[in-house]
Amino acid sequence: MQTPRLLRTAQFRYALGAALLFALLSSIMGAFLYYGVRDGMERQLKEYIRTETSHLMGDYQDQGIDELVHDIRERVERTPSPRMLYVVEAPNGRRIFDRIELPKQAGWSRLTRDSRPDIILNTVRLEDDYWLGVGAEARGQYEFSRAFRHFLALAIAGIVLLSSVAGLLISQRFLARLKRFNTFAARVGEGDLSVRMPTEGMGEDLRPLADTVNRMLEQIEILLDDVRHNSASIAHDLRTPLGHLRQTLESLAAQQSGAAAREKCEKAIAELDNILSTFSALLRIGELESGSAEVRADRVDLSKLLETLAETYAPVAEEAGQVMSADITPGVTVSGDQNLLVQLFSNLLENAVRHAGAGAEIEVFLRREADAAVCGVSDNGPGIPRANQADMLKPFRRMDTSRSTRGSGLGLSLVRSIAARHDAELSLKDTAPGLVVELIFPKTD
Amino acid sequence: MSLQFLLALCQRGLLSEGWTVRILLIEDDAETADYVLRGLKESGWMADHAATGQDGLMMATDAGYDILIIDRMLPGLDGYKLLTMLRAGGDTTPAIFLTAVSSIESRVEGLEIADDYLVKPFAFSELKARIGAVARRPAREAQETALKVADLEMDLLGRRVKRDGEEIGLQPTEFRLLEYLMRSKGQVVTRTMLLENVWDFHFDPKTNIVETHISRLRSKVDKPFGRELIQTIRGAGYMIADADAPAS
Repeated sequence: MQTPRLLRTAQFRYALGAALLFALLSSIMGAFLYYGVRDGMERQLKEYIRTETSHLMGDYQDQGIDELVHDIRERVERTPSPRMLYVVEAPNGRRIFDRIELPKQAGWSRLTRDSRPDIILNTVRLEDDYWLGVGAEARGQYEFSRAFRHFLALAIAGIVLLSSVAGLLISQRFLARLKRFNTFAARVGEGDLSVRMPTEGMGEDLRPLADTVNRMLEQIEILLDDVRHNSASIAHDLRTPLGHLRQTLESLAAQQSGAAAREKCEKAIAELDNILSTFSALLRIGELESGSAEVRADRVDLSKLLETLAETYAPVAEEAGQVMSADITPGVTVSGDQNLLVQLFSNLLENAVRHAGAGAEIEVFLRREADAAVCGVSDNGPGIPRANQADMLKPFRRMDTSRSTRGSGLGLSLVRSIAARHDAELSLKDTAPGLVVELIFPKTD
Repeated sequence: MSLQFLLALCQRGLLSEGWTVRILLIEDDAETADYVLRGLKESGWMADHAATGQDGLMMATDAGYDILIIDRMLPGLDGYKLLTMLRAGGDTTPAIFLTAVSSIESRVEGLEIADDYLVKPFAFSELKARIGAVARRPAREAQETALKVADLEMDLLGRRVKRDGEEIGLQPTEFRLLEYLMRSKGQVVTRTMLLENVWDFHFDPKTNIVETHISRLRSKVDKPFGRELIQTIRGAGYMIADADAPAS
């Protein structure tokens, strides 16, 4: 079974460890206390017994065994319970008074009894093999130790319980802070650099961290703003002269009477348009990756979008000697930006048409898997060797074999950027022969 | 169109063949302005030029223009603010934004107040076609249920196409393509306009999808009937027109 996250935090473990340590120390201290008090009580009890014994022995010495028995009887009758215990054992083994079995050895002994207080006994050997035992129930000691054990068990249980609760509360609070931190980091990850880590209620331990992170974010925001501003300016500054160049070429083309010269001008314009389109794609990728471009979150009918694209590209594939088919589950919608998604899938289809080669079969697919929408384009063309796959998603990476075909090499990186902004997982699979470019949108609407 | 403007047009003798479109170009880049103005004049349109936003705003409010072509990035009063002010004042003159910023975001924002949006640099033929489309736009507002070019008929409600009384089966994309062409009857539509309006593509695809689909459409709509209605306008785009009748 998985332990709940709350119980796996360092805070909770620290709290629990501290509680156990404290309980151990308390137990040791309790033990000292217990034995100290117990010994004191025993000493006191023994003192009584000793005094009593010496009184009795005094009488016995003066007047013999009969006087001793008489003396004890007097005492037994006079003192109400609880009283001291007396045993006189004759050489024939007969015991009178409290009839406790005496150890045949002079001195102190302790008789333990189940669920009754122990008896502390002083045994004295009299003349003619008579034995005298004077003792007392260690009632006080018994009750004290019982009470103390209860108290100790209760105290330790209380400590452990309270510390666990405290640990839970602390770790819960910590987790809540962590969650806030996580939400915040996720937002930064999504490109929102305007958020700041909350410093309120962070506590002095985490506040410096929050402050540092916030200062860092501020710096990044300023830098990125600069970059963004600069790329907008670069876009403008580059597009303007390129635009003038295009205008000049167009005017030039119009002035040419010769078909060959006009064709050359038109070729130059086409090349220029290529440059401009690469440039736009680069800017778009930059916008998407820096998070500066706003990505709409509309309900997009992915099924319809893919059906339309399949219908759009089928004749193009046919002209290239390929067959395009679609296997699309209807009614699958995702949250996203229609324009960007159109561009994404059209890039995938164009890649397939351009690289799969004549005779290839291309399939557009979309299916629902649990909550996710799995879609993409597969072909049975030459594919991409596994070693090159990660590289293919980077800007300007093209396989050497495809350098000769038209294209900027930005198609797949644009696909990757758009997929990333839609939280869609992009994967390339070489199916030897062929390539499957698959996207998984984690949540369909 | 205001009465004063009609009078002005009459005085200038411009109402002889329909009417001549008056265009105001608000553009700070002298070279681009030069290029556009020359093109506009060569196309037989009247064009005035303002080099700053303030001048542009004044000219646009004072004289009645049929179309405004506004650069979005102008020093001082920028194009977006300028048009916002005009629109706030109740001016509904069709406007086309020219811009060096091609992001989708700015396009969406721009199209909220402008009628069209053209990313620099552009071919003049592209601007010309868009002026044509924008100038015709009010007439298109009316809900049409059928379109007709010569003997080609499109039933917009029944989604059916007939030529010479014979039904033609079209794919949904082909239908949309033909519909756009027919709605722009007699007007040149460029490849980019088709991509934007028929396919909703706001980027330049690397394959010739427009050419391929036009050729498919022709093989269904034109070839079997022996008379070409869909024409290729070299260096500009396509146009559907009744070849016998003069272009309207």
